[in-house]
Amino acid sequence: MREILNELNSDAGLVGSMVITPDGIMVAAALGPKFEEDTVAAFASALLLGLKRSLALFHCQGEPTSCMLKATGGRITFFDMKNSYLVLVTDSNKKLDGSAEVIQSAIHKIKNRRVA
Amino acid sequence: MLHCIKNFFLNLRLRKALAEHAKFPGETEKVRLAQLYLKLSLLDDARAIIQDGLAIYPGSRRLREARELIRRARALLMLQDIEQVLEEEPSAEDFIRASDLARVAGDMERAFSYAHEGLVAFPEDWAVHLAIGKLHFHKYNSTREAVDGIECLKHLDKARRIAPEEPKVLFFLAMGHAVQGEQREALAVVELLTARYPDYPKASTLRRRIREAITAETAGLKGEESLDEAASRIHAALAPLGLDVAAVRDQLSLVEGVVGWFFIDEEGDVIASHVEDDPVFDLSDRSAGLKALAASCRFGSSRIGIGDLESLSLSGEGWEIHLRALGDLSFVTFSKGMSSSDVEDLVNRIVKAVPVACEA
Repeated sequence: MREILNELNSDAGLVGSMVITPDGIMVAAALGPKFEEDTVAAFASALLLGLKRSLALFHCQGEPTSCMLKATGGRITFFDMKNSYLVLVTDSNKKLDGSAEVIQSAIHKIKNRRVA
Repeated sequence: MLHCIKNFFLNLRLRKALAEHAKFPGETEKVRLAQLYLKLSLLDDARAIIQDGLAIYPGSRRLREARELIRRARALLMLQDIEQVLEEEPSAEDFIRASDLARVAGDMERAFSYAHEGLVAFPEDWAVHLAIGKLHFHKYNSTREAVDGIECLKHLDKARRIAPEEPKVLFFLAMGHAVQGEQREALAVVELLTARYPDYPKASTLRRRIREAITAETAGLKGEESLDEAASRIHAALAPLGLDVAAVRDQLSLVEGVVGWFFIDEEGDVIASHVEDDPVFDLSDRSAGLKALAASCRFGSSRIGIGDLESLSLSGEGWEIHLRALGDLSFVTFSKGMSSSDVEDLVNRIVKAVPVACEA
């Protein structure tokens, strides 16, 4: 799975990417030397779980399909893959479109990956 | 050869220490004797002399420190044995045991390493998740790093999902919530634990402490404020940002699709708000939801190296929640039928363009 992520990083011009489960456990990551995988995974899972909790308290109908956090030095975008989330790290001025072919292709490859 | 010489001199010192201890079995003599036993790897003798000392001087810091050193040395020895087992066909219990021994020996890095190896080999074993959750719990207690608090609850939650009735998991989950100030969540878990396992050790004490913490929290909450006080507080919070609540309301009332908006502080407490009835979101009791939203952002993007939070957008089918950071406050909008970019543009316009209407 790391290969798929590395390819996505290069094709989409990402700083890094990772896959986490809905309960926030990291499945695979290709984040590059700038980031600590455990810390980013903890951040991503805390954000995801906190937002889900918040949505439940607002009795919001339907699951979130995407989430984007913009910070002064970068952006983190989550895309729902049903049984997991694709987390993409980019520069702060780069906005990602979830319907972009390169992202959809990576999601398809990850979801249809047969190797355990 | 060198080892033999070293042992020879250690034995000489031991003989002298034994003689001194026989003459006057005080705290200092006992600690010195235990240290020498430890150097000669006579762990049982070291432990016996320290236990004897603690029976006489139960409050002695030096004796307790010596006991800790002996515990660590014993754990290191046992770890050597279990490492051989790990080379062959280890079970989940073997990884957990190795991790626990490494923790007792004071090597947290190694403790995490064994536990994570266990997780790779047994990803659905509740005891492995419990072990990792406990390690993060111990680390959080000493460092107070948010990442450890989060990892602790994540693994304990996972352990609970795999083994919902396991009392050890419930106990540590309650502890994990309590130590991070989530007293209500902690109470819910510990009440479940005490209902199912009334005799579980320390559960009643934990429940009492959590209840006391909740009482203290409630007592500290602000009382009801008058309308004038509320207006003054809102003005004081928004004016430094160049914002006026009436002007924000006017601006947003012109936009179709905004279901509700809030100015909240870092804790998620509402400074000012406007809500419309809508089936997409139930904003009638928004306090807990906004606090959870604020807590989600509190972990801090700066910790992972991408700087300070500017905004957060959460989208589903036909709805959007947008949070814009404004110093100590955040501006949160709930909308429907608007794209993510539309909401972001709208919020940018409001934040930049709305003047302070009634500057003092």
